[in-house]
Amino acid sequence: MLISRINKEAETIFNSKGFPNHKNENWKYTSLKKFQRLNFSKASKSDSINGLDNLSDSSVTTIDINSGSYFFKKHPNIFNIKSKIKEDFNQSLYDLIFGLDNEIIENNPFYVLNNANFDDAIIVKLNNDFNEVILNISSNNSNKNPLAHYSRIFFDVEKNCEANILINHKGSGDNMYYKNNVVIIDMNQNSNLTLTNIFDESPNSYSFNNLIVNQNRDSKFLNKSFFLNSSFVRNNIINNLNHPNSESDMAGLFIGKKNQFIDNNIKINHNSKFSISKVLYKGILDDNAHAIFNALVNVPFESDKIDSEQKNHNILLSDKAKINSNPKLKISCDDVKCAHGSTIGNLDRDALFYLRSRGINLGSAQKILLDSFMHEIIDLIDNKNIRNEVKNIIDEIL
Amino acid sequence: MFKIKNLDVSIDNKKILKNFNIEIKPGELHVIMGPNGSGKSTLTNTVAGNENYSIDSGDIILNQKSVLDLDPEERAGEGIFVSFQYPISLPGVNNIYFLKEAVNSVRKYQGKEEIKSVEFMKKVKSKIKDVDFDESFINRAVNSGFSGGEKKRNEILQLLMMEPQVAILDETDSGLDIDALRTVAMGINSFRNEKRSIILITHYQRILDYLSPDKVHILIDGTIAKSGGFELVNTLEEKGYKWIQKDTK
Repeated sequence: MLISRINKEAETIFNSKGFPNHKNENWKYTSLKKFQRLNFSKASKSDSINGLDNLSDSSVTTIDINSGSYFFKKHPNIFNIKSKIKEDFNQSLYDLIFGLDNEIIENNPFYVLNNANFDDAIIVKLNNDFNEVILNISSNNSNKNPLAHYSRIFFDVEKNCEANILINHKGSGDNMYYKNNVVIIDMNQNSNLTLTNIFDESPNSYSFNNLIVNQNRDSKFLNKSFFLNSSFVRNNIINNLNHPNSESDMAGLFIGKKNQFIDNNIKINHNSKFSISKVLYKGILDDNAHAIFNALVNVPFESDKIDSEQKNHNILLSDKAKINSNPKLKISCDDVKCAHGSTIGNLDRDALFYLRSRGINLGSAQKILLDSFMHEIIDLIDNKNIRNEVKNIIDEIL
Repeated sequence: MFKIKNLDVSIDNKKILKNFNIEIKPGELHVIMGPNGSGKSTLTNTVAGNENYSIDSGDIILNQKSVLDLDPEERAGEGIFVSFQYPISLPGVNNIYFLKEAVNSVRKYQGKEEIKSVEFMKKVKSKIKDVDFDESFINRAVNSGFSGGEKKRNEILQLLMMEPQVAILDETDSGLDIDALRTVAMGINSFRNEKRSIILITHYQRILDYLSPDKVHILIDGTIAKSGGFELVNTLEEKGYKWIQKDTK
């Protein structure tokens, strides 16, 4: 199967469907009108300014995806799909990485667009000898014409592996760019993966992200996402808990200011009995920022004994800031434990007064309360350096 | 010197404090007692600068200067401390961090240098003994998961650390068991010196057995109906408030 054929097939599908509008439940609060008016040209390797020489000296293996091109030091566990595609590419692997089912076609048009436009993808095999990767998805866009970047990464987490992936979504400069990124993770039996996402995009960007995580028996997926600087971010996560004792725990923190738009869509398919999921997303929105939290826990028939919890808490700092919070449950069997809830409010006036009565000025009191709101998510980052980096970015924003 | 002069305060257009007056000199401890709904907590919140309470007339004066136009944090900086009847919990805000921020904010307002960490820790460790706290308490979130008694002791810990000039303690003795009551009373006594003034609002005589108040005021329907010495407390225990209500009519 040639990449050009995958591109072409997807292009046909996309053209028949077009961009979604508010009539699609998954895009009800997300307007793509402005985006559709922009004319993006696809970035090529000549648009990327990073190269192998620019890779950081970190002891952790780093993969730079700059303007849609991949840069990494030669490693036996990292492959370009272009080189691999002609060899041992069986149908099931193909379906896993490129398959388009009805749900994707109907609800994830940017996934289809990625299929239609990607030039290359990479496969990373994680095992206990190679279990830590940093992925920098950046756009050093010096080109004044709006550029589109497409990237696709497939992580194969082997049996019993304990791994860490950090994805830095970076942008720089004021030039407009659009990133379309697909990450697919296949977690094998008893594997344990922590995926940390840090969004630190430029103020003039569109970032569309699709993450699909398939979990096997006894696997545990921990996901921590931080939406710090951005302009327009759409984040789609599909988490398939396919076997008993597969467990996922996804936490997120989003901070929106000015006219930022942060759109989180999470679907958890409890495809197996005895699977466990937990979602906790917190948001702070100021100025005219708008965020969406759409989460659906789907429990099909015969997926008894599952345990699921999803929560979304938000603080609005201005009258014009807006959040659409929809934690949803679709349960088709009886014996399950599911909880969902969301809160939206301002900073607690009584708490502010209490702090001020102790001599702490209004600004510092607000900062203390916001810190206390965020710490539950920030403290989930085990790595001290990453935690400090996130804290520093937040301090700059607030 | 701390003085509240002809103070009228209302909430949602309902007058709570009516022509309230009190004057307390450095070194003195005054007690305010009164039936439920007489305006005791309104007084505390008004002095602390709670914006929900509107001051219709009158003044609050510390060291010959009105504090009415000052924000709550500025009032704290001037040396006013208020211990609340129901101290709020701050989940996620570390107690020691909060205390240090409070102490340094007040020092900054007063033009003093920030307290050095070593000195601060030394002081905290000594003061938590005064309120009979385990050291682990200072690393917990402020009042989060604290029992009623622990919250009140935490207020006293803040009082001892912040060393204000005037302290208004609103029912700091309510809901305390015998041992906690003694601890809180001892904390207040250790704070007391010839430069500091304390106004203690209470319902009970018990705590007063540990403290020697200079004056006792009876607050009824938003105004001081009677002032006197400790003997007033004994009369109240004996006759209740109705006696004064009749007397004032």
